[in-house]
Amino acid sequence: MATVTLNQAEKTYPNGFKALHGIDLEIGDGEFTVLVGPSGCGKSTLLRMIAGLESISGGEIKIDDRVVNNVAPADRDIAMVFQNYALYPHMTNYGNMAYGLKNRGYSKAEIDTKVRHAASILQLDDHLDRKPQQLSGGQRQRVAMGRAIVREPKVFLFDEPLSNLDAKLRVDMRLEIKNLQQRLGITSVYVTHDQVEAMTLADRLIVMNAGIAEQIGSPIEIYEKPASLFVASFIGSPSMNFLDGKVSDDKSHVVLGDGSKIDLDHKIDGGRELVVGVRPEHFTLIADGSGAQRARVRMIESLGAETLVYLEFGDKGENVTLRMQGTHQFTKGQELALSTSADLVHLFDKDSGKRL
Amino acid sequence: MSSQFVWFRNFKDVLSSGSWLQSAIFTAVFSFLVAFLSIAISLFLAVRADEVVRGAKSYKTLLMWGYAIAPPVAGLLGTMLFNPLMGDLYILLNSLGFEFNHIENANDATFVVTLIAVWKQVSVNFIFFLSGLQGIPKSVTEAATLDCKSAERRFWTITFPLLAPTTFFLMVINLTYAFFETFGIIDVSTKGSPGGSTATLVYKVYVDGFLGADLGGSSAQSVLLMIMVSVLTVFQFRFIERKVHY
Amino acid sequence: MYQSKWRSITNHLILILGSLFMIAPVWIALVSSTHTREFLFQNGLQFWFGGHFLENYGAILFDSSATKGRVTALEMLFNSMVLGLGFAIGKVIISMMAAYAIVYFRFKLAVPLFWMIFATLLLPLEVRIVPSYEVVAKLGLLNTYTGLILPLIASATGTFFFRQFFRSVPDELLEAARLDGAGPLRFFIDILVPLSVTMIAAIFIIMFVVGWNQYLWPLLMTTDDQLYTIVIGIKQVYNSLYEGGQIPQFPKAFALTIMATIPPVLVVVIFQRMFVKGLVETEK
Repeated sequence: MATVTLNQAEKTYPNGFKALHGIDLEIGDGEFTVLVGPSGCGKSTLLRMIAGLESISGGEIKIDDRVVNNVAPADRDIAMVFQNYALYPHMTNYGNMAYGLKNRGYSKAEIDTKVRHAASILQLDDHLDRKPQQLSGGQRQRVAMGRAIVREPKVFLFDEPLSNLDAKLRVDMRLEIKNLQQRLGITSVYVTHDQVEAMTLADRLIVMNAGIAEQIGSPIEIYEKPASLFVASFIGSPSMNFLDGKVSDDKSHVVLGDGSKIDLDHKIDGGRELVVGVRPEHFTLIADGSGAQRARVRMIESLGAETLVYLEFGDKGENVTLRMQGTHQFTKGQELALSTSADLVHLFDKDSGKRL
Repeated sequence: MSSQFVWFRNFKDVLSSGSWLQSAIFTAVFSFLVAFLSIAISLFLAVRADEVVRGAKSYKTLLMWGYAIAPPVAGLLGTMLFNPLMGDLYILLNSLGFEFNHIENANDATFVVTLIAVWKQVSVNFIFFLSGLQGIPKSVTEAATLDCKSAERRFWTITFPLLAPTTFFLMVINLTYAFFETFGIIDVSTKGSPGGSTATLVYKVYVDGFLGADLGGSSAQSVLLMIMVSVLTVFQFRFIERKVHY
Repeated sequence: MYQSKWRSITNHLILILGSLFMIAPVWIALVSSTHTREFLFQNGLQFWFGGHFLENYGAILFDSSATKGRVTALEMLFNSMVLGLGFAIGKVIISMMAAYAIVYFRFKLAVPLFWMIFATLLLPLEVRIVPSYEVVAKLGLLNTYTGLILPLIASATGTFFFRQFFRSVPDELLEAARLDGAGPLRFFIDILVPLSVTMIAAIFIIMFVVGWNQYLWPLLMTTDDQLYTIVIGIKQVYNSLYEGGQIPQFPKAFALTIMATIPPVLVVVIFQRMFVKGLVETEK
């Protein structure tokens, strides 16, 4: 049971590359925090700094009230699950789980109790005497988690633990991890580049980009109120549509590329150019009406439960994706009239990309 | 033992002595011959061993065990076969009218040590070539069979270029072998005779330093040898680095 | 794969000739060692066994006068075994530890030190023979097993091999071990050594053969017959072949040769797979 606090945590590599630019973060007791972002955004570096596998170039990291900047990884009371499992191939699964306890001087009996308990939680009882190579990917992942659980650490760290599994197993393991974490109530930090994992697992989500935490919040907050163009485009699939727009002189609406209008609440200066974001699921098709957005069908993907329609919008032919429930038939080049509601529209500054 | 600092006199003496130059030339010729011949023979054998299906394992064992033979043992076996009293090869060559006499003829003696050194080295090269050949993806060989009918042409246009890294590496290994490890062969077979014509540089270091008690001159020779090895080593490292980077 | 009949036949022919080329000299030595010296002297080298196997081998194994020294072949075999095993063990330990330091420890001078070690170690014993001899002589280690083995162990081949292998071990394993509270020594003993078992075995086999076959260094080091290895013994016997105006002792020289050859050949053939793997990997 613990909190993790990051205070202007920075990472600069010896070659001068700055991987993290001062991250501030407070992770509450028992909270499941997910770091998400494209590769190279610094999310793994941050996790490894919490683990103590990477040194901290600036700022501080605290676990509970203890600054751990110069504490050895083994003494931070954390456990980590690695992407490629990192199981010791020459030890049995039992040995893998017991190793950390052994090094910490637990008695044989204690070790045995703890390992068997963890194994029963993870349904590994029958596999304890085998070696990791004899297990399937999902089972190996369980052993890796078992190795973390037996230690009863203050903090669990997960470094893309599911990315080596196939799609179906990934969903199963995702649920299992979430279950386990809730059951054990251990503070967890989880790194992934998969936004579905991020959305489903997180109590709190941190979207990272180029060494900066772009936005921190609950998954729904981030989905509903993305703080920047980057967050808006990264969270949600298919990605949010972005259209160029200009605020009318009387501040009452924004004019899009095809001349159609979306109402505004008069807060933005007239004449200002901005980016209008609309999620694919927030467009609705309407019978041909005036003032609606018009777009031509370019391509259709039918997924059964839903249909994705790719459209060309306005004179500039901006790309727009439309997501509709059920199956629909359209012909290529067909013109559709779209509508969206003003409260589902996101506005971003054209230069800074910040939400307005 | 008393010693006196003489600047570079030992080097001057060594470099201006005819016997060192003779030994250097012999070493160069000998190394080239040994490397070239043992690589050629073992590549030829490895290609065939890679092709056969039946008995492949037996052939492999029969051709690679020679790695375990010590150079002086090889030297002794060679001397025995070229023994003027009863050596089969000596008798055979002379009955063919070659007037073969490695005791007195420098070229004949060179032939003997080269033959022994090649014989000893074939198995090492064979092991490397065979594993190199087995590392070539089967699909590549099969694609080549579809594209080219002549086995010989296939070898020179596909297999050999793919084995180039192995070959280059073996060149270095074989040169090092011919420089250093042949000491045992020479010491047991010709002992550098006749007249130092089959003494490699290493053998000369030994003869001058330990039998002739000229430690200064022998050390100077060692340093020269060291420089040559360094060049070879740099070559080897270059190669290793390149291999790592592909 | 398709192969013409002709190609298949020539393949076998060539390989049989190649095998004969390799085996014939040893075969001749083996069968000739079972004849009397008078018989060989009159009839030349033989191609089939004679009836004096026990007599010849028994003499050199147990009777030191047969080897012209004060040492029997049995004692020489023992010395060779000590050299081979000592060399292999020392080599494995030293090169593993050196590779461990090189791969896993980051310190300021690591890179220049690494290249320095490699540059010096890749210089074979042969080029540093004079100074090595001087050092060992001054330390009073001539004619000792220590003096025989120690200078030979210092070479980089094994280090390079383990370096390659350690580099292939995923970093996450080290990190997991660190989180599990394993320090550098623990990681080495608990994780790295068990992972390297097959590699260690392969290197061990190669180094045993290399150690057994050492020649130049033992030749300089061992002036005392009691320390002769069997490979050195061959030379001594060979040198004395023509002494005393008698008929040369060829059969016994051959018998000694065969005995020097059998142990390393057996090791290589029995552990062929491991040996080949080790050899090919070492040189990568």
